[in-house]
Amino acid sequence: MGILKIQVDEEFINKLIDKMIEEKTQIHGLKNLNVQLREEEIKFQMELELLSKNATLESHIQILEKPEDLEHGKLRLSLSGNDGVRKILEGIFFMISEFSEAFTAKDYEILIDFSKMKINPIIDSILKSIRISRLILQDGKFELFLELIK
Amino acid sequence: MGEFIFELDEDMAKELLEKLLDNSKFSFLKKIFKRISSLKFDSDKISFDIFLFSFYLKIKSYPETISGVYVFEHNIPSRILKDQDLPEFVEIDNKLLLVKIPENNLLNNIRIKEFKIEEGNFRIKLDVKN
Repeated sequence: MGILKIQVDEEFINKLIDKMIEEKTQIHGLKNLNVQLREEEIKFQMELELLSKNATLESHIQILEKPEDLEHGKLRLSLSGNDGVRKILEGIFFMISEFSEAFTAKDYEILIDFSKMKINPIIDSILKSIRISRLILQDGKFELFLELIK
Repeated sequence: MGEFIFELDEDMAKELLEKLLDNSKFSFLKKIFKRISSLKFDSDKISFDIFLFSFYLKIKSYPETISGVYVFEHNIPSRILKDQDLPEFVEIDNKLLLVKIPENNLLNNIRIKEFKIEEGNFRIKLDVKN
């Protein structure tokens, strides 16, 4: 067969984020962060306390293009929602793009090009022999199924 | 709900293991594992044949959260392995193989609900500690 499955739901992610925020108030001002996994979309809701004012910000990451394999495929994402958050997310991806050619961030669109990804020889050679048979964001669940290319 | 599930079957495990060792510095292990003729997942046991020998690794215990000590019983001649540079988090003696995952804030909060090997599959189910 040759199958690897990863499934995670939003409840798990949110509980874990809650725990982390509860234990460590390292991220200053962040009171809550909620992640929702919707139809091909990830929705972030943040509750922040800035200058003793509470604010709720929302942002979305939408999947525009999904890769079929991890050697040549491309993952294209689009950012929307609150302008500030969008800029922060774009900024993060921009910084990553400085380190890896595989990432490009432009006009609220993020492109991850797996053919340009060079992580290390071990991982690269593993990626070459794997196909994505399922990558789904739906009803609060993320599912990733990988299959061996024979 | 509130779960993370990781599942791996024996074919994928064999392929990943070969690829990993292919590129690793453990030349001796590389030579041995090239000769694995079968790798089976069943009854909490990973069994594999090398030449005419059969080896196994059996789950004995695992920690409550991801970080901690995983204990496996084995019949792999540990003397041969001892001379190799095993990764820091792996310890081996005649009977037991220990995998020690260091503590950190994130891993300490993730609980292992299920850690199972059966009918060709290796499955880990996780949830968040209350």
